Amino acid sequence: MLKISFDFDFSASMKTSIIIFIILAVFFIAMGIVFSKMDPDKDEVPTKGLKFLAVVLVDTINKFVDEQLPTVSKKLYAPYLLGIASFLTLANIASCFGLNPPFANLGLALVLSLLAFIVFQYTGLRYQGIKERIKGFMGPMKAVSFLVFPISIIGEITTPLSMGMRMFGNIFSGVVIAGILLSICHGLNIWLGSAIATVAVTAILHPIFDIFFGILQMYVYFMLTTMFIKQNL
Amino acid sequence: MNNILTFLAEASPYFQKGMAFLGAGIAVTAGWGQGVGQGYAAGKACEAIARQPEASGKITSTMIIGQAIAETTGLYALLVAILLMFAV
Repeated sequence: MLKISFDFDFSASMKTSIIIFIILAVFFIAMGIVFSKMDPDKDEVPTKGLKFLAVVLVDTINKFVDEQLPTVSKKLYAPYLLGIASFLTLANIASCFGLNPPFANLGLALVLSLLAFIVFQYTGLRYQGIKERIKGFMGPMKAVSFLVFPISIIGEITTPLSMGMRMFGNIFSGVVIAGILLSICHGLNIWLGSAIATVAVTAILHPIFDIFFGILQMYVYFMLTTMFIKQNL
Repeated sequence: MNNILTFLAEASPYFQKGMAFLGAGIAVTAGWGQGVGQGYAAGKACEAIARQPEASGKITSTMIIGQAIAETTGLYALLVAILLMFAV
């Protein structure tokens, strides 16, 4: 008899990613439905509910892209930036709700690097063209261009890599430090000592390491993506 | 040099782990550069706010972003130390 068994065992970070993906998919599809029913000629600015949130988000991201990247096609870059910002925000807050933070997993953090790499190369190839890009790799002086060329190529790889590793290092170190301190607090043998120590340590550690650093790293990733897109134009 | 290391490795079963912990301790000393760089950035931000107090919001947020980027190399050292402690 042939027994086939499928082993779909996602790691904990992947489960959080899927939950965040479902939440964001539902939210953005609802936003799309709300926008398709609104009429821009009717001149009523919504002030509450899902319409207000949708209008605020899209206006903010459009203004941001107009201000920082005025010459790119807004149809392509504004949704990508909004998606990255919302996914990273939700992912770094997820440890408030009992889920494992997704970017504590090295594979998922390197996906951020891969995304950044693809976006930078696409921007460079579309807005600069291949010839001008290779000439840019050679550097300002023609005499030493054979030395500058490998350094430029390495720079193209290490910049996205460091963006992903920065996120991984911050979140992973938060998880490890929390794990070490909480396992010490768990072993306290005084009456109610382990409960009080665990609550105290979590109340101090968690807002700083997970939430504050998480939101900060989201902002850093977002700003670096925008900056390097502008540099690659 | 080869003979000494093989002799020590065979003499005790904890040699590998001990050297890994030693390496983890040495790796974390890369934090001094991070401290100097971030402290210098904070000092310059204080001077800038003293010169122009009404721009303090923008200066503070720029300083925090700059420090989050300068934190990266210290984090690489922390990652190496954690890898040595728990995966060797």
